[in-house]
Order: sequence, then structure tokens, then C-alpha cells
Amino acid sequence: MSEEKRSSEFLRYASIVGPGIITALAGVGASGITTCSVVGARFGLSMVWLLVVSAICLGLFQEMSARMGVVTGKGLAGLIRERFGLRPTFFAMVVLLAANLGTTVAEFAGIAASLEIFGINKYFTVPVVALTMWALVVEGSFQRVEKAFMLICLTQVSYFFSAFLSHPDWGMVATSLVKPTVRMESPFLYSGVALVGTTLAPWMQFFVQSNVVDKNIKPLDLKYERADVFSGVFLANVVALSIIICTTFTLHRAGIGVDNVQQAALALKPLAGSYSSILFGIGLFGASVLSANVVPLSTSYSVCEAFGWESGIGKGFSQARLFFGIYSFQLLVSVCIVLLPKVSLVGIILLTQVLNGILLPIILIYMLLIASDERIMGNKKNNVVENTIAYMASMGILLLNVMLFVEGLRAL
Amino acid sequence: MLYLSTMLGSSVIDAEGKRIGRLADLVVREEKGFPRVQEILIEARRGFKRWYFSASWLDIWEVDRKRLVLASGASKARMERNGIFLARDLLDRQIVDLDGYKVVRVSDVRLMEVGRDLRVMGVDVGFPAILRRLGFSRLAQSFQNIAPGFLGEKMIPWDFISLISPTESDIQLRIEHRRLHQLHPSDIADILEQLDEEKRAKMFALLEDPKAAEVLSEMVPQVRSALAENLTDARLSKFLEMLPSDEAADILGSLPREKAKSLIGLVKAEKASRITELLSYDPQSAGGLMTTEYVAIPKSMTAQQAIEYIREHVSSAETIYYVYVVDPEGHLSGVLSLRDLLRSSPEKAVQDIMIRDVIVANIFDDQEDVASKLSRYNLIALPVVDDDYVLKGIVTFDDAIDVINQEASEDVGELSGVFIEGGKIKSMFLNPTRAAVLVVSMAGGLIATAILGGLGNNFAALGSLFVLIPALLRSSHDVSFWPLAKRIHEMGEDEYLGGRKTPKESMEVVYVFLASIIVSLGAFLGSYLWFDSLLLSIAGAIGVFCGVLASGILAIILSILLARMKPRVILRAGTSVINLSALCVSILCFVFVTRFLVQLLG
Repeated sequence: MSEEKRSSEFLRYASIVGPGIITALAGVGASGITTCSVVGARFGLSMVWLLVVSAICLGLFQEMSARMGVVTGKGLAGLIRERFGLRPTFFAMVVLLAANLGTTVAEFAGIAASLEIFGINKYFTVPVVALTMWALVVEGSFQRVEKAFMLICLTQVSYFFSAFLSHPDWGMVATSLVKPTVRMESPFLYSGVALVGTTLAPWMQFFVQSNVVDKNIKPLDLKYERADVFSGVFLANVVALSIIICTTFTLHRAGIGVDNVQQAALALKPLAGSYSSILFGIGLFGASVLSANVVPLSTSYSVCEAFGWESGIGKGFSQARLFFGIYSFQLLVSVCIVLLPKVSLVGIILLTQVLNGILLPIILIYMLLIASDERIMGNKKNNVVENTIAYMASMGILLLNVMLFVEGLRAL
Repeated sequence: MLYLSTMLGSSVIDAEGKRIGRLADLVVREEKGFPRVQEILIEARRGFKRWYFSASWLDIWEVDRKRLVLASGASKARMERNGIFLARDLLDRQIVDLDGYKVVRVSDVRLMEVGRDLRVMGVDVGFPAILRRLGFSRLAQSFQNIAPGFLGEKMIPWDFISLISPTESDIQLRIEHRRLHQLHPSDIADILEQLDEEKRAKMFALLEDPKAAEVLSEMVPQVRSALAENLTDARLSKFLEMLPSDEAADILGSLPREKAKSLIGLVKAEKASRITELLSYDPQSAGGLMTTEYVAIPKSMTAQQAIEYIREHVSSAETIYYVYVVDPEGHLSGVLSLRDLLRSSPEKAVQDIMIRDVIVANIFDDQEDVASKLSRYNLIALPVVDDDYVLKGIVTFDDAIDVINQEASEDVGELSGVFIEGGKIKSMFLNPTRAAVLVVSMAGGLIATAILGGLGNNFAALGSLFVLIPALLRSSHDVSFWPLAKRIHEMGEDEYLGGRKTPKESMEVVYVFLASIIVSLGAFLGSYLWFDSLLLSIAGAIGVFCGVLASGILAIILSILLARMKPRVILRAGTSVINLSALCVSILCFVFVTRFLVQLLG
């Protein structure tokens, strides 16, 4: 390949890249960071091989969604309505709305927590952050919003640095990645399931597909979009790995167990220096802000798709009133819930997990049926190998979700 | 009316009473008008195996709620045939408008039995259709009753949609989508006028009642009479009851004499007599244009009683803005606006507050004269009297506006104020002018703060008098807006005010002077009570006086300079320039005068 061709290929990729990376990194979010820090502090590196498994699952389904978006030019919710009718779509939308609202609340709680690491009052900052993002999304063009999201994604590099600051044993990391370890004890299994569960949520499938459609990526650019999706999945798992490494070689080594990310960040200070703690806070802030916007947008995209209303980040408020209305509504409700004193987020997060757990397998099956339908996908439909792996993966995910649900109930 | 969603899945039974399968789809072919269902597609199932049969619609013997009975057997279906499969190609599909914007998805398809045929009337896109398909038909009905506009049934007639191509899954609208759900009666009338007679009648049958009446009154007379002849007397007479009597008379006037006579017998006596009277005038005259639904009161009423009277008749009158005062014989003796009534003391008699020389139209005046009179005097309604000066009716602005040509109507729009552009009132909140004022006030405040900061040393000399600064800024701000407000007033509204004079520039200086004195007196009193020091208070008061006066005079000068510019420039730039400079000048004056005085007085 000539030098010139290579550089034009890269430029093409650079113009397409976005939806995949944003979705995958937003998928980490506050809950992902919490899970990873807790897992690292408690179990060390023994679970990192699970990241490889979840990366394969995530990559498989994200690629499928992105491909469906590129080929059909329609969002997932729209395709489900056209293929399976109103009832299943309506059900899916109600569950998605509730689950995403719960997730958004959790992400805003993440914003509040990250600010409290720096000792900043949440009653001032959470509304300000929400308002700023709202203004950006409602007023900004698609390109501007995407650029802003990509910039926020950059904050995730901080975890990479905090991993280095913890002076890890890289050889150990490499072996743990390929050597599966399973301990047959309840906390270990529960955390393992949670680790996989947090990286794959229904809204991610809806969002990546709608965002690809919104960006108007044409079938000709499918391979670049695939590259985008895979880079996103790779980066998201590197972030997760970095967090686990960081907490393993500091907290786990010192034998400090933590329950949430705030404790983790504060406990890092004496062990790895205040830089590490600050980096942790910045990363958490970025991840939460990103998810707190992407998740409500995913709901807006999907509901509008399902009922056929105009949608799109680049549209004006008057063109896509319901789209921005749904987005604003979720933002408002989430901010209010987070700022209310004495609201237990544990219940909300558990309920969200349950709803996501119910919805995810159903959505995955719908996706598989649509992606293998020649009338819809033409020659870009799933092949047998993809389908086999995907069916196995969705069965596995169904099983994991049932386990997570049962464990969650027992934990209550 | 039948719905595709309720029909799908019903059992199909052959001539021997044997169940063939369930109804899977209906097939239509593109044709002019509302297409007929040609064939039905039947799905038979055993275990996981499926077969498809088809049958011609003409072979269907009976359509039941949950059952279709065939007169003959069904044949094996050939799936590759062309045609539109309603469930497959329409249901749940995206509708896009002319520009490709997404509008809504198809929730149901409406069908209607016309003779032996089943025809597709249009696609359902409303909220009740969604509920119906989710299985809550009752709930759908109640939503229809609660909020018919927002959550009610919405249908897009077949004529307005086009299938882009069999392979493309989206459906395109033929008209702009915003117009669709809120088609104004006159728009619907326009569309109906372009259809042929058969289709027009069918489309009209789909309209809900109050809207149908309005649509009918908006049609051109020839089309209206043709359409009305085919309507039942009961429905027509209901329309006549619903419409104001002038519009009812218009409809009756375009009907054949016999039909009109029989109809008028069905209408309530009171309304009927009004309509007959209106019918007797030439449609091109004031009498033909006027309505008899006005508010008239006797001279002896008090303002309080008059307001009560208006309240009682608010629903039956076409306009309540003017109240006409008549003597016992019905002679028009004066007019009152609602504003006059509300402003006067309640026990005052109306004859003491009414305007006696009323602008009127004679009942035989040409309609164009009436319209130009309304426009010339900027009235909302014009009373119509006969040769004996007996009040017969009023011509309201909206009736007259049809008569005035486009140009005149635009003039009226311009006259009625600066917030009207292209005949539409611009949203008040988003008006750039308002936003500009807000921004400017903010900027003015900030600059004032900057000046205060810059005057740090002088400040100390003021002693405690700085507490007067907020009051000073507030007053100068208000005073500086006066001259500008006057310009704006003059621009659009001097005719509207009926020649009421706005003050001359010299008078404005006097006003500003007086205002400054009042404000400074207030400042003196306030600071005297506060500091208990006569000298200090005098210094403060003089400072405030100078500040307010300076800003007011500056504003007058600037507004004279600006007056030659375009209205828009005055509104957008003028406010900022005047406000900013006035605030600066006012604070500088205040600080320097007060400092000088304080030092002088020791």
C-alpha cells in the first residue's frame, strides 16, 4: 500500500470515528468504574480475563448494531417496530425508558461523587454541569456535540496514567489476562457477573446504531465504522483494565477493601500519591458526564424511532421537539433525584440492573433475527459463524443476568 | 369504519363452514382515489409449518367482527404478485414529509365499506390507534373524549400519502406535515374544492362535527351548494346552529330556495329569525356582511351591570370588545369599549361614559366601503344601522378582512405595532429586542461597576453616600427609556392612538427635570433619616438630581439623533446605546458632584 493511500485511509477513518468509541467509553460509566475499582481492590487481577470475554461479546454486538444502522439507515427501535410490530416495541421502550432513567441517575450520582473527591459541593456543580451539557446538546450541531463527547473521552486517559503510577508488575498482568481463574465462592461470582454485566447494556446497542444513522454513515464506509466500533471496545476494556491494575497494586496489595469509588480514590492518596487520587477523580468525572448525556440521548433516539418522530442531535429544537423534550425530561428528573437528600440510590441501581437484565437478552435476540434477515440486511446479513457465536453469547448473558438478579435479591 | 389491526387475525371460513386459517393481510392495487381491497391473504398453520392462501374480496360473503365467510374456496397464494400488502407495506412504517423529515409511524389503516367494496380511507397515526393495537380499545375511546386535539384520533387520508417504491420501506407525504394535523378549516375547504364530487363527499363525511361546519362555511358557494344538497337535513340544520348567524345565512343563501326553506324550519326560532333577516340583504352590502351577534345594552345600565351583561353573553357574541348602547326603540346612541367599562367606576351610568358620535355603516353600504372604514379607523367592529339609525348588526374585522386586498391587510399589520412581521405576531419571549434589553441592562450594570471600581479614591470622599447609588442607577435607567419609548410609540402607533399627541422634546426635558427633582427629594429624605446629617443629605440629593437629569437629557439628545434611523435599528441598537451611555453619565455626574460638595461643605 502506498504512503498516500494509507494516509487517505486514515483520514477517512478519522472522519468516521466517533459513535463506536463514544458508546463503548460511555458504557464504562460511573457504575463500571465502581465495579472495576471494587473488583481490583478485593480480588486483585484474578478477574481480568473476564474483560477479554466481555470485550468479545461487546465487540460482536456493537458491530452488529453499527452494521444494521449503516445498511438500513434506521435505528434499532425502528427496525424492531417494522419487523416485530407495535406491542414488543412498546414494551421494549417502556422498559428502556425506566432502565435508562435509572442509569442516568446513577451517572449523575457519579458526577456528584467525583466532585466530592475534590471537595466541591454537588448542589452547585451538578446543576451547572447538567445545564452546560444540555445547552451543548440542544444548541450544538452534530459535529460539535460529537467533538465535545470525544474530548470528554480523553479524560479516560487519566486511568492509564494512574495504572502506571501504581507501579504494576506487567508480567503478572499479562498472565492474568490469558489465564482464567474461578473461585467458587459467592462474592467472587457475583462480582464477576457484575463486571461483565456493566460493560454490556441494552442502551448501548440502541445508541450506537442511532448515532451511526444520525451521523449518516454510508454502506461504503462500513469498514471504517467497524474499525471505530472495535477501537471503542478495545479502549473501553483498556480503561477497565487500567482501573483494576491501579487498585490491585495499591489497595489490594495493602489489603484495603473498598465499597465505592469515592473510598477508592481517597484511599489511593497515601498509597500512590495525591496525583493518583486526582487522576481517579478526573476519570470518574469524565466518564459520568459522558454517560449522563449519552444514556438519555439513547432513550430519546429510541423512543422517537419507535414512534417515527424526527430525531437527531444536529436538529433544531423546533424540528425535533419530542427528541429534545425526552432528553431534557430525563436530565431534569435525574438531577432532581440525585440532589434530593436521603434518596437511596442502591434501590434505584438494583432495579435498573433488573430491568436491563430483562431487556438485554430480548433485544439481543431481536437484533440477531433482524441482522440475519436478508430482506432487511441484503448481502450484509450475519453469517453462520457470527450467528452461532452471537446466540451462544446471548444465552450466556441471559444466564449471567439471571444469576446477577438472584444475587441482587439475596443481597437485599 | 373498520381498522386493519382489528381485522387481522380474524378467522376465515369457507363456504362449507370449515376454517381455512387466519387473515394475514389485505392486498390493494394503486388506483385513483381510495383503493379497493382486491384480495385477502390467509395464513394457515399447523405446528411450525405455514401455508398461505388467497381469495378475491368479491368472493367474501360476510364480514363479521371476528370472522370472514367466503362464498367459495381459497386458492394457494402466489406471494410474488404485485400490489400493496397493507399489513406488510403500511403498518408500522415510517412516514416522512416532502423534505424527508420523519413525521410519525403508521399505527393502523382505516377501511370503509362502500357498497360491495372495502376501500382504504387512510392511515391512522394518532395515539388512540396505538392504544387500540396494544389492546386497550376502551382507553383509546376515553382519550379521544378527554383530549381530542392532542391525544385524539389522527388520520392521514390516502390521497396525501405515496409509497415511494416497493423496496423502500418509508412512506412519503404529499403535503407539508405541519399542515396536516392542524389543517385550518379554510385549508381543508381548499383541498375539498379540488376533489371530484364523489371523493369530496366521502372526505367530508370523515370530518368531525364542529370542524365540518366551519369547513362548509369556508367553501366557495358553488361547491358548497353541491355538497350541501347531498347532506341530510338533520346534519345541515345542526351546522346552522353551530355557526354564527352570518355564516349560517351565507350557507343558506347558496342553497336552492326549497331546501333553504325546509332547513330554516329546523333551526331554533330565535336564530331562524336572525338568519332570515340577514338573508334579505344583498350579500355584497354591509347587511350581507354583518353578524347579529353583538352586545347591546340600554342607556340606563351602570358600568357594573354592563360588565355583568357582557359576562352572560360572552359565548353568543362575536366580539365583546365593543358594547353598543341603544335606546328603547333600538336606535344606536353610543358605543363603549370594554376598556372604557373596566376603567370607569362601577356605579357610573353608561350614558355618561359612552362615546356619542359613533362611526357607523349604513346597511346598504357597499362591503368595500365598510372594510375600508374599519381599516381607516382601526376598529375591531363597525356597527351597521338602517336609515332610521336603528342598530341592525355589526361587521367584525375578520369578516371585513376577506374583502380587503392583500396590500391593505399588510398595512393593518404594520399599523398595529412593531412586533408584527409578515402578518404573524412574533414570539414575545424570543424577540431579539427583549433579549437585547436584557443583555444591555446587564452590560450597563457591569460597566457601572467598573466605573465605581475605577473611582476607588473618589469614592472614599463620598463617605456613606454611596448607598444612594442603586437608587440612582435604577432611576436613570427608567428615565433614559422614556424618550426611546416615545419614539417607538410614534413609529407604529400614532395613527392607532387616534391623533393623541405625544409630547414635544421641550416638554420631555421638563418631565425629566421634574422626575429628577422627585427622585432627589426621595434621596434627601432617605439619607437624612438614615445618616441624620443635613449637609450630607443635601449633597447626596444634589448629586442624585444631577445624575438623573444628566442621563435623562443625554437620552433625549440621543433619541432625537436616532429618530432618523429605521425602526428596527432604534429598537435593537438604540436601546443599548442610550441605556449604556445614560448609566455611565449618571454615575459619573453623581460621583463628581457629590464629592465636590462633600469636600466643599467639609
